[in-house]
Amino acid sequence: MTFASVRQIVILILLTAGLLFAIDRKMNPRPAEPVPRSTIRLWLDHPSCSGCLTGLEEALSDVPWLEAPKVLEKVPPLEQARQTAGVVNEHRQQVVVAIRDPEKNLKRVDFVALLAALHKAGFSAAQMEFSGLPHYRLEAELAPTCSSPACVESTYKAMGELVLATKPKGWFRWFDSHRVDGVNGALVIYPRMNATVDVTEVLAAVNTLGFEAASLTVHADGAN
Amino acid sequence: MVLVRRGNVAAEWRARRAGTLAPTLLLASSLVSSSAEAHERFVKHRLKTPLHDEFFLQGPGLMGIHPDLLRIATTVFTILVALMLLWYLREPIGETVERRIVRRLGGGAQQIVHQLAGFLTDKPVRARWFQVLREWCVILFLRSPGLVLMYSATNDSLVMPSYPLDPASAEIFKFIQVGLAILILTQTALPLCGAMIIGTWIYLFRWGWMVAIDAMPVLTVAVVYVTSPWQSHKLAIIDINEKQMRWLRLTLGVGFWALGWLKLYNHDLIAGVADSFPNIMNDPMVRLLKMGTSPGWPRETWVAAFGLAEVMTGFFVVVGIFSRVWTLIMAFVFTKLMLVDFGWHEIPHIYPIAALLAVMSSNKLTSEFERIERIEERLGRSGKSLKQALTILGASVIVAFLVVFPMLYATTFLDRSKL
Repeated sequence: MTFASVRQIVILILLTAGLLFAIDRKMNPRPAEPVPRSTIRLWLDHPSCSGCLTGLEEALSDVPWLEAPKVLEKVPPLEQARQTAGVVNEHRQQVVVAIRDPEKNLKRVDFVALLAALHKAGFSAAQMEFSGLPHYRLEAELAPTCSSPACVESTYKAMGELVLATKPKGWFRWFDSHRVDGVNGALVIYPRMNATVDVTEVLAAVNTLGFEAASLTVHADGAN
Repeated sequence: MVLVRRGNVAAEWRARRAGTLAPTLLLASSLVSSSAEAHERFVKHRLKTPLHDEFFLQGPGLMGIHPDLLRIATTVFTILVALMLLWYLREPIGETVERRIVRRLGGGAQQIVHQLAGFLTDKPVRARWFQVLREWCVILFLRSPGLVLMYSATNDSLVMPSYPLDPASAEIFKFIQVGLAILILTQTALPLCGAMIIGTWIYLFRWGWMVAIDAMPVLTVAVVYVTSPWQSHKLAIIDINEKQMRWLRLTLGVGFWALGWLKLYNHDLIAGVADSFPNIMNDPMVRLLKMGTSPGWPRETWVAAFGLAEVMTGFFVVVGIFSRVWTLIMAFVFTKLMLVDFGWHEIPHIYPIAALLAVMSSNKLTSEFERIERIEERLGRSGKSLKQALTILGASVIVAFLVVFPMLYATTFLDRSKL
């Protein structure tokens, strides 16, 4: 019987670790950088021009709890996005908006209101990512109200099944758990710690469950 | 590769399990926490109300340690001393029981008691059923990581469900995991498997030191793999030799020990699990360690008692004192948590359960205290009974003190604001 020498083992360990680091570095260009504080990143299917930016600024200025938007530069041109797999989303106009004075205004954050403001100005967000809070929950107020025990139970189950079914497709990677608040008629979602949440996934899920979200708010005061 | 950002993983990781048993096991089960190491990774762990951070930090009290925390530490210290003394005295106690009590019961009973005593004191148990059990446990231990890797791959995770993979690189990592799982399940090139597991563990430091510490139990099987022959696929490996078992025990124990201190440092995470699963707070071990503490701090004292219970368990496994008893209790606790308390999400714990069973069923257990035992036996043989007693007592008290208090004192200075 032949046993591995210490040198062989050390080399294999270093090769494995090196390979994993290399794959990580090559395939995940996002470095492990600190997450900005309470920001919303909008991905707009919209060409970039100064007129659009002005319109966007005007639309978002109607939302009092938001700061002025910042359009991210270095967006790849559409042709490149079409030709390169995986960068289609990168082509979209990305706008980062910080929440004004988060300590005061976090309770006022309502993503449904934000989307409505965008729609009013003719913009449509393909994706809306919320990040920067370590620990919080999202509450989607369900309309029509879901308060009966049967509705609460079936909505809870349906949401669980929806998450399970869509996770392999890349949805709800940030999802930790959920519950249905029968008293307030709300779907409560708990993201993972420090996770970046795609709010449009939540709103789409609410619609799939047969509801309309009257509001979608952020709550950072404890977990429950 | 891992989808969540460094802070996310670290936060999650900082931000983790009946019947009638023999009286000894019941006593022992009252001495271990019914919560397992890393279950907070897989289950809900939302903190419903904040803990009183001042409980874990410098404040009023001896050496700035909160009086309730100090009380729990003192209880742990007392148990450590008592069990270490019992360990030194196991031979005379065993002889007394067997010669004066059991001899009267006759052959069958005598043999059962002899085997039970051997089991409890980590001596070889010469019984056919135990050999069969040992062989099966070794097979389970060596192959179960393959199942866990397959499970993780199908859940878009790396090694454990707590490491979700980034979609951009998920596929390649899932294939690597499946490849490794195939090697493990077919027992092919085990040294390579061990090196890959250790390499992956090193990679986890990329996502924070707490992540790597929490994943330390994966190293226990790697220790056995790297010391197996390259031609492992031609062998039926059904036993773990003494040297391998020692390293397995050390790795497993250090993992528990580190996780215990981590719970005191990152207290919110485990408190969040307890908030979601309050039944885990009703634990005989924790109740024992909490005895005499203020009822006004139930969650804080529970976290402290739980963390120190793990420190104590880890220490006993590291030094090889009543290894079988501790690993059996932990295997029982993990199994209960997996099957009863948390359910399917805990299925990856098949692996640590297998590791614990492999230690529990081994006939090649050693103790790190053998040198001290040789000294005290020499003193006993030369008639220096007082010196012998003082050596035993002194060694137990000093070791127990060093295990608990310096580190506890240090944790009260740690800044948790960035957790």
